[in-house]
Amino acid sequence: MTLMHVTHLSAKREFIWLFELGWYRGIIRPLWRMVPFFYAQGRTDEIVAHATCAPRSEYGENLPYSIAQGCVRKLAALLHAPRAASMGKIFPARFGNGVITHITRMFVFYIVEVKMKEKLQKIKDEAVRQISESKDLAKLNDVRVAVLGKKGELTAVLKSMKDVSPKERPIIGQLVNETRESIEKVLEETKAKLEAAELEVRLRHEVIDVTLPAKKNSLGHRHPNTIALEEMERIFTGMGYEVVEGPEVEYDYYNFEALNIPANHPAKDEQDTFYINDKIVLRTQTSPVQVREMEKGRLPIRMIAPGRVFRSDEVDATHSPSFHQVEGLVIDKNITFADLKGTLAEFAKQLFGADTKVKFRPHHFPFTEPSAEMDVTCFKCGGKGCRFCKGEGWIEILGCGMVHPRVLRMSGIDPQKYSGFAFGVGLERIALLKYEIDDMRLLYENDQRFLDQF
Amino acid sequence: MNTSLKWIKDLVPGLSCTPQEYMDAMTLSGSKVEGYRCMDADLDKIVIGRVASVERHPDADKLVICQVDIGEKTIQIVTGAPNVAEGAKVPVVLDGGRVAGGHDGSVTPGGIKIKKGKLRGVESDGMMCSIEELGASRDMFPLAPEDGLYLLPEDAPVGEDAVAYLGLDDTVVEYEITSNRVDCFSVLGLAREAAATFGKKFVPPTVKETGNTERATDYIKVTIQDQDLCSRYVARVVKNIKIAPSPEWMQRRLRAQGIRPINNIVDITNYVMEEYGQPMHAYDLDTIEGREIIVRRAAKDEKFITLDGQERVLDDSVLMICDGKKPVGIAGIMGGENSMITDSVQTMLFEAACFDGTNIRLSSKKIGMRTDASSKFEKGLDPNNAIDAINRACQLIEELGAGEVVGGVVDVYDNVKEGRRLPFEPEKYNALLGTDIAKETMLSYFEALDLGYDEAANEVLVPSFRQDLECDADLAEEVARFFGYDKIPTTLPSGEATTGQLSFKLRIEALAREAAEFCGFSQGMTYSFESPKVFDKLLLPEDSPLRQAVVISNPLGEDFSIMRTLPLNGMLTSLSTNMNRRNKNVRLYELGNIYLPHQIPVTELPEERMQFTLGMYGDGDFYTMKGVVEEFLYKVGMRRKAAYDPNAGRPFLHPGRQANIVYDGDVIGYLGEVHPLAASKYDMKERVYVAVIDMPKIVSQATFDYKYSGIAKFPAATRDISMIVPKSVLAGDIEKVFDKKGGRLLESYALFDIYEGAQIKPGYKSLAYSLSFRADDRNLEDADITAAMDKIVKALEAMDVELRK
Repeated sequence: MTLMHVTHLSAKREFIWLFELGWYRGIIRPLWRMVPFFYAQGRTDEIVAHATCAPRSEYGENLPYSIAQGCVRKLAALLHAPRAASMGKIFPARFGNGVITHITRMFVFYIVEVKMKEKLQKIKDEAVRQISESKDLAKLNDVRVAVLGKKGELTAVLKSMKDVSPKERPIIGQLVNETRESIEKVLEETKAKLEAAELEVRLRHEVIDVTLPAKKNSLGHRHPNTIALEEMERIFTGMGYEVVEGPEVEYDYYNFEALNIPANHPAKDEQDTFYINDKIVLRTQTSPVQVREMEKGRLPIRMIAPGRVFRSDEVDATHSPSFHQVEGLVIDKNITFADLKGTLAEFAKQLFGADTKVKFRPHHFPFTEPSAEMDVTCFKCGGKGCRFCKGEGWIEILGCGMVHPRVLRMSGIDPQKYSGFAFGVGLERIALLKYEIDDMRLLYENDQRFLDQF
Repeated sequence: MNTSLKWIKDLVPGLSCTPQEYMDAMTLSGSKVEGYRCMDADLDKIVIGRVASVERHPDADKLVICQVDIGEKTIQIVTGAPNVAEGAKVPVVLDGGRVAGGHDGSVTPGGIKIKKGKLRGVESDGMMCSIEELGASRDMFPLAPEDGLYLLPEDAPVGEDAVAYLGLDDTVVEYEITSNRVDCFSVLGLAREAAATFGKKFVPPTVKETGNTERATDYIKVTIQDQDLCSRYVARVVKNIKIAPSPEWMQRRLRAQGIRPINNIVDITNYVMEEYGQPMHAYDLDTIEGREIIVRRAAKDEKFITLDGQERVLDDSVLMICDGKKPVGIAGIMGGENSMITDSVQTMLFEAACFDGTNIRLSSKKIGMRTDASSKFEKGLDPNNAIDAINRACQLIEELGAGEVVGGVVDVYDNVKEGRRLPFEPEKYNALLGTDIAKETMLSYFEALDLGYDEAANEVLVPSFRQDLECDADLAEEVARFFGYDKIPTTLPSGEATTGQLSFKLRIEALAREAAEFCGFSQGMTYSFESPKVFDKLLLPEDSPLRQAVVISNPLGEDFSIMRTLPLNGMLTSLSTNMNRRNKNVRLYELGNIYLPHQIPVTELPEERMQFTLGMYGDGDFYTMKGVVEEFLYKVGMRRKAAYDPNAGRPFLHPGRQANIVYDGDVIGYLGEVHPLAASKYDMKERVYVAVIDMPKIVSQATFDYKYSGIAKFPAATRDISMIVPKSVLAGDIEKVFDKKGGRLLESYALFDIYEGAQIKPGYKSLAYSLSFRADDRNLEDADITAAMDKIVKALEAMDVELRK
């Protein structure tokens, strides 16, 4: 037995109950009496027709409010129309034909509502069936258009609302919307399911071989000298040092004399100087930048001066007539040899790793006194001794010392008030060691296959 | 400088240390030991044996069977040595012992183990050794035969250790002595350092002025004419010379120093030179005419034959030792053939002088002859050392019986060099070192170094051999050396804070590197000097100002003789290297200076201009390079539009594919394809593109002061414009019209098509641009755009540009 049948049977029974009340028998006009029959036979169209054309005043006498209300409620419950129950409340306190008419119209309307509900249920059931049969999104969309689209069934129902009286329109409208919403909900759920399935298929088809070669962006590579230099610049600027520069073609005075290397000093020969003339040389060291900086008279000084230097050495695996140094200079009050040690130990740790130890050996440079050479523990074997450090465990890295009082004086700084330290590092030496390059010539050949490794 | 460790230990009797300990301690106190070699490292169980009998081997023609007395017993040894003979004393390696190498002089690391065995069926219990098998050479043992056993002297004690007998139980220590420590170029100097380092007593030899009752002044007169170059000349005379080999102990020491023993006189001279660091020279007095020595400068172009038989041409800067008539030696460098000692020498003039170091250094360079003597003199010797050295030598002559020393000394020494007095300022030394060393400790260090202390004056007395000690910093270093550099604390400088930073110029250069690398260019570095031929390779005309270069007066060769005036040679050479090595798609950049002289000849420093040079071949073309330039300019904040002037006039670039880069009316660089002729001079057949940007121009215009200009709120409207343009009209000209006539609303434009060919009439090309208009404050209306477009079109038509509908 379908729902429809149940509804019909119980509706009939209730109507009979209503008639048995007797005392309102007179109210019901023959036409009106036909309603239950129409209803029972499913001829709701005719009920609508009657209801809409029912004359307003001829339906009888007063009906007690409670009865009228009771009727409405009963009917409402019967027709599973909960809203009707609340509508019962809006009955005015005064009763009359108008009220009766109203009640009548309510009845009729409930019938319409039932019919509408049935129709909508049918639409919905059909839609759900079609939705559930849709195997893909395109098909689903067809269903959506067929049901909800401009020319869809539900829209057609909405369109027919113009035949419904304005008062009842919102109720029917709401019914339609509820149906629409519930269809849409099913549609959305199904759509989500279908989409998930489709995505899964797509992902399964899009599997690639991640071990195939990369498509490279050909970024350029920095010269190992520059990488080492930038590392050193980072360390020293972090300690408050300024990076300064000086000329590569330099006066003999700055390159030698002002650094306590007077004319005919053997050191001048040791450094195998390139001369332009007797006053001008290609600088053999970056130390002249110290002098130029000290001459400026701005104290204190903390600077490093990287740059190109030149010495008359034939090109081979360990020599080049042109290479780079990084000079360092600190001038201030109360600078000590201990400060020199601490600064360079920190530098070595940052450059070669936190475990690096340093060793200072006495040495001689004309422009520093005391002077030292600094060794670091071999970063390959950690100081145990290996082929890299020739078994010594130590690698010589730089020369340093306290600025010679004569050098300070020549640059206009009073050695009684100020002291300082200086150091000089061979950049190529650091680069060769750090990157284990075994031939210095590689640094100046610029073979792309070499540069690509940095 | 090398020394025998045994010799050092003899001078520092309390010293007992392994070679490694010696090396470490000496290095840390400032006498850097480069390394050492134990001469007996691979020698084991080698004794002196006496060949008691020699019999023929029954089964071998070349082998003999010897019975060798090794003291406690006699053993049988089979040998093939040609010089084996009964009674010979030889080094014998016993069963289980080791030798250093083969008799051909080959060295086996770790040595060769010798075991008992049979040679052609006959038992052999050891091996008799050649000098090579002992790890030495005939160079140091001149008496050793070319092939065969090393024969020991008659008096060699049988059964004793042969290695010790030959002095091979020694260690040769190699030092790196710094130029300021002239005194350490001698065994005595190093022994003094060793004594101070290990806190032991230094016992130098006691030197006496020996000699007979005669007076040297009766034999010879000395005059120094050029006192500026010779501060002291000491002469002594030895007569009745008996040339003979020097004793074993002296030979051993000389060998360990790496000096080949020759005869007693030569060996004594060398021995004292090693010991005192004072070179001496011996003349045959009988060849000295006029019995006088005159020290003077040579005449210009004076010719002289040195004792190696070579004729030398001198000039008036070279100091000569002359007799009454002729030169007999080049001072401090080499004696003359005419006065050299021969085996028949009777009377000898011994010279110990002090010459000016610089002059000797320059002279020896000029003459092209660096001798053991000159390399000592050129460091600047202590004149006070000369007298001790010559007296020591004469003492040895007497002790060795090599001759009769004539009494007295001829000593010309007018300006006596005094030691120095320096105030003793312990607090200053501590302040400089950052230490807290007691002054007594400091004085004890000084005492060990033979530095005196005058307590009354509170002064340190510096002997003349320590010419390097001149000021408080020098004394502080002496304190530091013996306190130990490693014991000095480790601190960081305190004081006023300073800003660590890169200059603006360096920051711009860093951005240049970033931009280049982002565009795929790798950084190269090339030399700053090059050959003047480069100008021809780069097709520069004869009168090009770029040919005016700073010239190096003493270059390594023509290829490195001028300072570059343009940066392309290095770049093209590097690209060519890559091309020859078949590297594909190479892109390089360099940041390096060019050097532009202000005048020729150069009298002041040239202008150094940093150049940002890019070069590439392979994928990409002119426009790729142009793109890199524009990326860079944008990155350094130069965001106005750069212009490209095709009339750049760079001879090394393709005449139709080059442009000056013009920014705000200023040429900041150029780019283009390398002229095929220039490329071919670098052996390059592919197209090569370069760009050169003059960094000083960039630094003056670059800025990091960017301002956000908002993101457009209203939509842009685009109009495409397609035109037929005479070929002579450049895209840049068309774009100038857009810029000028487009008005405020023209936001941007982009070329989207360029075509020359069949559909276009000859001499014309087709260009198509997309123009984008936008207003900041509203949606544009058609009328706005049409007004702007009309202006543009009108201006274009005036340029013989035909619009395509």
